[in-house]
Amino acid sequence: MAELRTQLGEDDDEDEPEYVQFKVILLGDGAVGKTSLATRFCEDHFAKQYKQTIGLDFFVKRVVLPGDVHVCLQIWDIGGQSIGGKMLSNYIYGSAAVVLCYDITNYQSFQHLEDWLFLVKRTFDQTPMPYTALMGNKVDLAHIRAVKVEKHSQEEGLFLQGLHSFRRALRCRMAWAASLSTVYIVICYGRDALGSSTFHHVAL
Amino acid sequence: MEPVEAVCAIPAPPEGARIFRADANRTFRSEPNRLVCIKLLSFSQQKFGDYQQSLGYVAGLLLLFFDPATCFKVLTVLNDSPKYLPGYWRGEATACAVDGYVCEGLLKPHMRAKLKELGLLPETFVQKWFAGLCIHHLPYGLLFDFLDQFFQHGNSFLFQFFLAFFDTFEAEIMSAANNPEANMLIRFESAPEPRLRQALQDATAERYVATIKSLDVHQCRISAFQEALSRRLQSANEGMWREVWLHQFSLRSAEVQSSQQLFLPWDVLGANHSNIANVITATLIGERGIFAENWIWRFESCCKAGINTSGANAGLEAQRQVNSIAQGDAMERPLQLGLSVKWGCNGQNQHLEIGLVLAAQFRALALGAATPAATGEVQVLTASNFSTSVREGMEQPWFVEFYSPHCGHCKRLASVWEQLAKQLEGKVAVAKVDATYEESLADEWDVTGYPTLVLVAGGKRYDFRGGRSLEALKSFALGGYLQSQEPSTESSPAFGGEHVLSLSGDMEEVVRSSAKAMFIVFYLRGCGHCRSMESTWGSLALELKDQVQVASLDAQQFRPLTELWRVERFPTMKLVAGNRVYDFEGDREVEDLKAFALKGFSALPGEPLPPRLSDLPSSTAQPGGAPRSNSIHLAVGFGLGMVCAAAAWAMCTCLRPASPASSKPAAEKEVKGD
Repeated sequence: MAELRTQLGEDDDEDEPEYVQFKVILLGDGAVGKTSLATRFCEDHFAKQYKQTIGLDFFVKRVVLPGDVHVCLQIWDIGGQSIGGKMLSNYIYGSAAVVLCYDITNYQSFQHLEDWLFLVKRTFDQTPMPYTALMGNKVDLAHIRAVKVEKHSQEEGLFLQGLHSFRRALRCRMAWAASLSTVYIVICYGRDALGSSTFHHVAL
Repeated sequence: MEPVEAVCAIPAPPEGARIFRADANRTFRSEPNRLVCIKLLSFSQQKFGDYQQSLGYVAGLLLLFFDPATCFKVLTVLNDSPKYLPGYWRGEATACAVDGYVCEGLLKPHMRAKLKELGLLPETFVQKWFAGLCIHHLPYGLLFDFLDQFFQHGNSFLFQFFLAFFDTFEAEIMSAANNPEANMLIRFESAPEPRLRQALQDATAERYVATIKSLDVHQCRISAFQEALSRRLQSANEGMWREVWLHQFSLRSAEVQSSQQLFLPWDVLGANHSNIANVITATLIGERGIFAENWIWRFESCCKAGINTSGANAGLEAQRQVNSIAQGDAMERPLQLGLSVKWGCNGQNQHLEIGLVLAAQFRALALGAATPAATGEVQVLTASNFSTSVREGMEQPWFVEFYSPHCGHCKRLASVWEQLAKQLEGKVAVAKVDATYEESLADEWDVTGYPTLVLVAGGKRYDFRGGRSLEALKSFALGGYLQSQEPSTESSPAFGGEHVLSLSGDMEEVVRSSAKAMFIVFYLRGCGHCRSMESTWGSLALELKDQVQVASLDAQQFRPLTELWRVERFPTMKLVAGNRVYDFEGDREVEDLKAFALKGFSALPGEPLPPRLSDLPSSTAQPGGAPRSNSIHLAVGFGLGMVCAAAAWAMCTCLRPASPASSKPAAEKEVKGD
């Protein structure tokens, strides 16, 4: 473990705990709630007045995982309009995890994940793919759900997370904590640590 | 789903409407305001050919103060004028990114190094500052100062602000530990307001003004593009290319082998022109599968040609230059791609819409060079190969003789025709069609006598009517056709069919004397959008037969009229009723058009009829007077922009937000997050 930390972490001051830095990117169509997801997690509030992200925003969250592992997550919140953007791969590059977000009330946003995923795959081309999570957002609007839970699970594979609304703080934290641990496991111990649940792509 | 299909989905996500709805919901609270916003955004997308979410912020702010029509005008000026936001509002924000790198290049070396270390890419945050005009980031108290300066000084103020900001906050940036921390500052969240104000004031200081003024912006943009972006864009393109190539080639190779010459119909899926870096990106999609390639060309000279001249000449000149560039480029590619380019200048000289790549000739390298069409021999065309060979004359002009084997004139012409083919080798393809045998072709081309000599070039038909001597034919084929006559309109029937009244030079009188309201479409022959709505227009005419006179005007042929009526893009639809003119801006569907023509227009204020051409001072009445009317138009636009700035400023400083009772029901809206 110590070995890993020196590999991944930064050499900081003595009194500062060592942080393992991860870059996590959020991808998905516009208005599916990527920024809400990030602010909920990093600043622990849900902004009711929300606004579209132009370009790119960054958030940071420091967490301590079991085993006194200090993790610093750099969350790259990528504006949903950029799909097809040729500059996108620059932002995706080097990420430890990719969170693909969709809106459960919008089937298209679910379908488009295919395209987003394709971009990620293209970026990582020969190198191993980052850990990828699937997030269905806005479950508080379940009465107008357009993407069935089964669909979601069908797509999951390594995809880990279930359905969330980031209006609900608790679920959000749980979602993040779970995916975070997985990211950590994958990065520190390799993909095999997760057993057979490697990412399989299921055709729609 | 195959990756190939995924590629197909990427360039044009079918979610235009959805993103407008999402952005409107995030901007306004009440449904009516949201609808207005959606409308404005979709108009803008139609007009600008693209949508950038940062435009949504600007639109939202403007809607607080102005009616949608005024907002639209202001947005148009901001988008079209190089003074303001040259090419920033593109889905792919290349132009904006380029300017970010230009600014970055002016920073002190240690600052640049720090930004690099932090991974803070200018291309990401200048989208907020430049394309979004800081609307969702600056506190209101500062925002209007910012906008005020921007409207006054334009684009260069943005550059100055960039420099002033990094000078003011140098210490903070230099001590920032990581990207998110610095990004908080860049988003102005951790920047104290008084110091932001200071930065804003400094931005107009002499030293920054001088720095930007002395800058050769054009040159800087070109080098910034080359240094920071071009390689990345190209590698992204290549990645895509490889992906698609692998999937498509096996499928195609069989066809390639079976045919010496393979013409694949190509369509332009999306052609963006960003006039600042003079870069053109085009994505091509083949008919039988996706063959996406994003090409980037430095287009400097072409753009200049297009901007400095107007109309058909610019188009031809540009086409010539593009061809030469494209060919040079294509030689180094794994396949040869001959491209034709067609320009549709939309009247507004700064916002050139380029209809790029209407036809491409595609050959696999393995076959070596295929036979070019202008072979020096007379080619025989039949119904089965006519359209795939001639391809509307997009690749090169085709001179076609429709003949009858029994006609004496034709027999006499035969040897001349062969000589002509020889002399025009490599320039113009010469062909003949046995019109007695190919009846369908003869019908289609309105062949009523023998021989009928038709030159097809650039999507248009030119009939040869002179004496059939070799010299006359040759000079006609080598460009004479352009001067000799207007492209003949007989080649195709009236736009939209028999129920549509085809207007001509006497349009002004017809409009004034018509008893019924008149719904006119200004169209361009060869414009894809126009062609695609032609049948819609025909059915509309049928549906409105007794109520509204549905009419059309060939904008190319009656250019002065088109300009006088301020038609800037095609197709443009205007309804004339009670001596007022109403612009149609909705979906080009029969239902929408019908609703508008019968009733919908009355909700709009409309404009008075333009004066008669003959009443104008002679300079604007002549076809060559176009630039003048354009510049007047632009000047009006600038004026509006200034008025907007002044009004916005006044609203902010003189009135409390709640007090303007006269303003739109917009007081409840939130342009900003919190």
